[in-house]
Amino acid sequence: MSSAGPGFISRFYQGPLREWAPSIVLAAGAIVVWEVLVRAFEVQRWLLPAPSVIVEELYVSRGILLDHGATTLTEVILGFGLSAVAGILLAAAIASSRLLERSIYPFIIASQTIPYIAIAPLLLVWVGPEITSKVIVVALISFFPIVVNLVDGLRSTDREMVNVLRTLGARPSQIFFKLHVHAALPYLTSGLKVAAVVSVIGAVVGEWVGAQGGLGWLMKVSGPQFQTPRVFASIVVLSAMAILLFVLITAIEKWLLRNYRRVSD
Amino acid sequence: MNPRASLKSESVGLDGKFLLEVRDLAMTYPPRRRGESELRVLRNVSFGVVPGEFVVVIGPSGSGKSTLLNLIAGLEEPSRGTVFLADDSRSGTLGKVGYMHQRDLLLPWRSVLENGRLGLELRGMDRSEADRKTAELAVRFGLDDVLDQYPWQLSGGMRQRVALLRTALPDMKVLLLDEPFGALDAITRSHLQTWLADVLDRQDKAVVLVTHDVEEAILLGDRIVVLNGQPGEVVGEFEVDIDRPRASESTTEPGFIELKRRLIDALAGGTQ
Repeated sequence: MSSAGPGFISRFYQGPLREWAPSIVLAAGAIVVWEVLVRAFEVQRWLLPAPSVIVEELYVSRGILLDHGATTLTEVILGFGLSAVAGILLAAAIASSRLLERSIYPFIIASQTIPYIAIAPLLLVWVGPEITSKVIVVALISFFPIVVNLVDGLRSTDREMVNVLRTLGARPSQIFFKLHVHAALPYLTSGLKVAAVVSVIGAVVGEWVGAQGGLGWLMKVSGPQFQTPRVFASIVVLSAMAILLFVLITAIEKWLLRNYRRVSD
Repeated sequence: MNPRASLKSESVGLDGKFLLEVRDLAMTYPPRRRGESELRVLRNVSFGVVPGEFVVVIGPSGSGKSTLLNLIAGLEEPSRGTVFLADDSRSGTLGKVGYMHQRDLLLPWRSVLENGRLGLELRGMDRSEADRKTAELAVRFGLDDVLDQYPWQLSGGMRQRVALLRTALPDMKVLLLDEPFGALDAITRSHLQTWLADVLDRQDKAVVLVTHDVEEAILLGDRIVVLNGQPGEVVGEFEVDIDRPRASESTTEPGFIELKRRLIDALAGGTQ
């Protein structure tokens, strides 16, 4: 046992596992402690369900969870897509015009100080309880990190590189597309990653305030019915959704930036 | 355009024998903040470069060397004076003069081939023709094996070669080189100095190289213009009568040592 142990661990403790091992160990430890404490103190399942109960609920209610998860995911994808397109266009406009920067940019920053939980009920009144109001909340909340990151990115270009292109006879539009856009890509993907995660929060906020479905709505109606395991199961699905989106964008980022390594002098 | 500069280009044109002529150039930057004084960088700088000539501008740091190249390249407008190009004196020099910097400034997301062809691409040349021309010249630059590599995969010396490839490809008549080997180690540097003299097809070109290195100036230049003082002005001009090809062995020849001594004198004189 003592001779096999270290060899086994070092063989296992390599590759991607090495990277993820600490967080896996931490999560597994927390789950075990949670399970043990809930059982030891006989905590009621409507107060705090044990992890095993949540897993059971995930299985038993998989139809409902998938159904409402699909609704939430649709809102997230539509809202995120909307904010990505609008955010990219607006950032490009702000970065290329001093006037737009001075007139619009302060309001974009100010818009982030508005509590969305207060806006959501108004949207409900304005556009109705259908999916549109949720898509708008998602777009509003994920819009900011995209615009701010991309504006910074478009301004990050080395001035001397701009001069290189100018001396090679580049027109302003060529400098924008062949230089600024490429230099800004890493900033854009960082912004998209943050936006993807907050998109999920936005969808839940929107559904919480008023919806006919979705995981946020499911949590809202399950809580007062003391179906606490279902609330936790919804949270698990939401987290999985956010993590998957994050991983997906990270993969796209890796592909897009595969040649972007900086020269180390 | 500076009104005085454009007026001058109409009244007095380029002297026929020069490919590039700088006449009475001065540059003064306005004060950046209130209370600060204006910054005078250059004054009374005049010289010309004939086709095939390699002119080295030498001067201590702060003598306005890089500003001079920025003015010739058309990146900045001079406070006074004019830059003339053969057959083209009116519409500025931006985009008509090749300019290579001390930093390679390669685009990190582009391969060697893609970096090299940038100037041709910007001129709207057909992609396959640009690639063919780039690959062709890359052979002479010793870069044909690394065309698919990215800047981070190359050594500093190789990256400077790519930067020169990019500068040379659009076939502009005037090449400006701003301390192109300044950031390299001594061995790579001396290797590239020899290589540069060899690789540049200068028959119809004018080259202006800026440096603060006296030996580099003598190794590469047909003529050396000494810039000194603050603001920088021309304090001396020297013909280099040493046979080519010059290599590091030339540095021990009597003519080389004599010229080196005179250059050092000129560089020291201006600071008094």
